Amino acid sequence: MKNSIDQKSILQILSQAGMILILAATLGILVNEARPGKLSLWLTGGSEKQPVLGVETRMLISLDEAETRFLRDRALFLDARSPEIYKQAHIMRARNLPWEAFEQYIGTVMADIRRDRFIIIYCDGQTLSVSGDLAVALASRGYKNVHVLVNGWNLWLANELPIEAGTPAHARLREMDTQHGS
Amino acid sequence: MVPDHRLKTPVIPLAVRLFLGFVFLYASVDKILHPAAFAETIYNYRILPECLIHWVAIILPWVELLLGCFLILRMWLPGGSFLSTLLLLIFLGSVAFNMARGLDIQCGCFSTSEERIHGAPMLWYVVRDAAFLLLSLYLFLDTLLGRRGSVSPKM
Repeated sequence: MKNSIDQKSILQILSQAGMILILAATLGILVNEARPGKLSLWLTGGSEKQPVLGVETRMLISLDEAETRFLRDRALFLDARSPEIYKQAHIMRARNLPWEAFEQYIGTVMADIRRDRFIIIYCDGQTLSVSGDLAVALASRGYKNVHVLVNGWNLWLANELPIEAGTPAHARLREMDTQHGS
Repeated sequence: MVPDHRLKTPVIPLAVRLFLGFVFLYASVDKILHPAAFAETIYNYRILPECLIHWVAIILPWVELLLGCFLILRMWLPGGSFLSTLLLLIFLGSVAFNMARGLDIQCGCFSTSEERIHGAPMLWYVVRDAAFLLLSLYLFLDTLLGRRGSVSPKM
């Protein structure tokens, strides 16, 4: 009975494990390529159809619907980018809830927002997961009507939809509250 | 009277091998059928970079399927039991890591559905995965010490 672990055994173990992995990779890739709605192996940015991991399909919203809701003022737009970028330009009437400082901002930004409000979150295409992360976080806080406009900022600009720059009134009030410690 | 060794079936290693084999088979099915949902589960772990998530979502279920088949059929047992142990170690580490940093996530070990065992805390997943790991480690060591060889041609 062999009780020792020799080099041949180690080689056998590693080669068998390697073959299983190679076989699995081959099968996985072949099956993926053959199925409709395959997963993309090479994630790239810059399109509305890019998958936003962590976000359910029902949370995604098209540009057309987002524009319609904007024109009818039927949605709250949230900008998930940093405050510095938000101040340069953002979708008109959008509020800034930067994902990087979610806990710090959510109390003031969402203080007057009901849990059933229709919310549309956007960011730019270079930070894929930011709007998705924000959507998931808001959903976990009880906001039931949260949606993501994938690559929203770039699409909004490309379609010459209304934007504004600087700090909107509600944000200036928030800054004043913060400065006065309230 | 000469004892008939053929009658002395190693029951425990056989039971462990078959149990783990069917666990892996069962775990692979839903993930192969719903790769997008599995990708989302992997994403929720917040461990892998985004560029790797789809690769893992596509390949890992097939690793589980093949491991399940090979364990049940007693093929490539040394490599299979080693890979099984390694995989379970990674699963356990991932769940424990997220539990330690306070992320309450769906395990995704057997189903990509949003539902999970009602009220099951993360600790349950840790304990369960630890038990699977111990079984796999037992099988690996038992194979390694030469008592249970593979029936397939040696590689």
